[in-house]
Amino acid sequence: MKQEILTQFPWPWLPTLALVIFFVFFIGLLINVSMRSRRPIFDAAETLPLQEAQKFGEKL
Amino acid sequence: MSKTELHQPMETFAYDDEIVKQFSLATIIWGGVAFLVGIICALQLADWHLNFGLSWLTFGRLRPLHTNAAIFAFGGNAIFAGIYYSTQRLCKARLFNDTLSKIHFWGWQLIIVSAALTLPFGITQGKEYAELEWPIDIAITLIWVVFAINFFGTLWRRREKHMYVALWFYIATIVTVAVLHIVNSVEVPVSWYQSYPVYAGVQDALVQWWYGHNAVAFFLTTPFLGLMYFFIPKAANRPVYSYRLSIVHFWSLVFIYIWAGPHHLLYTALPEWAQTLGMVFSVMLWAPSWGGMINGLLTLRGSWDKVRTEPVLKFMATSLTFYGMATFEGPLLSIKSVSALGHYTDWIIAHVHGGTLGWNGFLTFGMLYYLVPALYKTELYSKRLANIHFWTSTIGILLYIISMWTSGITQGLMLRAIDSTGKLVYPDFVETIVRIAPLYWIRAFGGTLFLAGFLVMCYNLYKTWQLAPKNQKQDLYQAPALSKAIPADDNNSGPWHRRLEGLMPAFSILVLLGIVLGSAIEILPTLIVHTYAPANSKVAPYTPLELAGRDLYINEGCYNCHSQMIRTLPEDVLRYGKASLPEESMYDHPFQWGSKRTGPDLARVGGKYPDLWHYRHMLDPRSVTPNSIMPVYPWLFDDKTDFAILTKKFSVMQSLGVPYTDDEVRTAPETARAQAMQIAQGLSADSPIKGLEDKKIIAIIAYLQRLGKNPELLNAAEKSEAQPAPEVQ
Repeated sequence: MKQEILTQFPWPWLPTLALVIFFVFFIGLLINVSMRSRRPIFDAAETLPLQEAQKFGEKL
Repeated sequence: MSKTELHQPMETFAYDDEIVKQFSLATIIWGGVAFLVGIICALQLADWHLNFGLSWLTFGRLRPLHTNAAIFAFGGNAIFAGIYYSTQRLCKARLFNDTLSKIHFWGWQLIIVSAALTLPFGITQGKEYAELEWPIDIAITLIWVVFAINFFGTLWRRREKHMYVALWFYIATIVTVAVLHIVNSVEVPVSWYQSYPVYAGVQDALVQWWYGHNAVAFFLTTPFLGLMYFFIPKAANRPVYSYRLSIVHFWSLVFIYIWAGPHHLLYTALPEWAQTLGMVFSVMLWAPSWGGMINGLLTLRGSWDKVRTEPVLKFMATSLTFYGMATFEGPLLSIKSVSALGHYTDWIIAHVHGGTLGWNGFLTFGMLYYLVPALYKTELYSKRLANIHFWTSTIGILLYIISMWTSGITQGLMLRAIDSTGKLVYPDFVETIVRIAPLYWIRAFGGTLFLAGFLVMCYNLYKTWQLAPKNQKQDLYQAPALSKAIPADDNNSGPWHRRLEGLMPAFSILVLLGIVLGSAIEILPTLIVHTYAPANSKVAPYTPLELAGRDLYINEGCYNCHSQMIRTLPEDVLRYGKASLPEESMYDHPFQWGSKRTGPDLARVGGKYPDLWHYRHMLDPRSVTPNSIMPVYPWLFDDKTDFAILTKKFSVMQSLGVPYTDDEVRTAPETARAQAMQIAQGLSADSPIKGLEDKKIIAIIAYLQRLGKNPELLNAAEKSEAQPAPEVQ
């Protein structure tokens, strides 16, 4: 009976496809974020939560 | 500020902190309710007398109330408080619309009250973490849309071009929860307080656990990660450790999490490829989860001394530690051989509560310790009390999870123990309950300590509020308007992700694509196949009385303690009978496979005991099974079955594809009464029991006696397994 059910799902390659899609995406992402030229921008982004809006009446 | 921003006109605005105060208060109130109901449930498992024989207080009805209160009332309000506070500051803009904020707040509280007024009274869909009936489902959708408009509207109006990582997590939460809720809630109403989902059996199992696990992912993980990425740097006054890591962490988490649902269904009747998919992606999920944990913990480098002295950081650092523990344990439990031991046992309960109490609870407490003093412009009343809270609750969590690890592994090993002759060492399920029952007291004590610590926090925050200066003026802020141009000295030549962050719609669409791709590959193949049964299937749909009994089974929450899925494991087959076949639940809207065995599996209980046994068992379980911890159900013997509604129920089931004829639909009440009379007369023949033919107990007996009784189907399955497998095309 199990074999009969499985014949209705002839997609044993689906997990493999999912893994291929993920790894292509992931490696591309790693390459992009690893480039040395991006460092100053990343340093600025890291501090965003610490940059409060200026209170009204405060001088810069 | 960049040169461009310096040339923009300054705009004056005020943050809406009133809504944050409201959501924070709601978090505290509902947290108390959720923890208290949890302790009641824990005590009921330790001592069944604490069900008090009251229908609205039984474990089966209270447990869904606890899970909904903990996740959506406590967790939900905490998320909204934190998101609204942090989003305004990260965007340097007031929330999009004050009226939408009010609708969001009061609408969400009304949904929670609706849950409290329905679940204890048996009004439930019977789907875990999605028990609320269809009118409340619609309300959830509407309020979620209000939240989305308010959030995305604030992003649209922001004065800070770049969307900080916390905002990505909030976007992922809002987009994915909407998809999950809508897809999982497709149901056809029978009445104002009952509906049947369009999915059944295997398909419902897959959709439900795609929803269930991603409710954990995108309601209990991603928004809290967003809050973590904001509040830890704020409290430590340190920048986040690594922006690179946050990009990789975010996209990996969002992509991988959506595939993990099938790890709840290992060794079941789910197709093998779906089980493998769930397992592999669940194990892979360890990496991005720990990436987030590492990013959060290493943000504290250089300020570890503050973790010792500041309650906010103490709670948040500990929450990340529990997060790391839970996200290692989860992938471990997803491995098939580990799941074979741990599934259906208290090990899963330990895993859940390590995550919810440790990660979600402690992060929320840390956030509240930050927010309340900040919102009321004062200092925390007592750091000493906060420390007492921390240690009391931490010890409570440890007692909880250690007792449940012990209970789960003990029970798992006992249930799978087979002697040298091939027989079960512990053939009676209740033998395991006798062994682990003392641990239920320890778990209840641990939960009580957690609540005690929480109450200390409530007192501390109340005194903090009392100390706040009265008649505070609203602070005004200034920030330059966002430039619509992207000049050369801005990040026009920056990395693609940096530019993407500034494009909120594109970012949101990419997140949607990521989760929809995973969902589609996982679910669509199962949904496309209309039936799992061959053309000559021997499965008959439920009779009217059996369907009435099944709905009562759902109303009483029996699925909280009993599974109906015999796994393809020797210990399951030896104990309960042949492994469950997919077609046996093909007409179950919703499926009843269950996720926990506090009592034995019921998939093949039909015909195992006479009707009189079931009668006595529901009246007092101890009369047939000494040492049982099951509650008593006296109201089933007084309350009458609603026969009249069976026509409507059959009609809805027919519309969902169950092969009832029009005649069967029309005569459903009469057919049910006839079958009920037959069962009642059988009981009268064997005992002095009289006059039960219209009572609910008869419907329940009819349903239970039906479970697993498909002799032709099982014989056909045996013959099929004996033959060589056909070639797969």
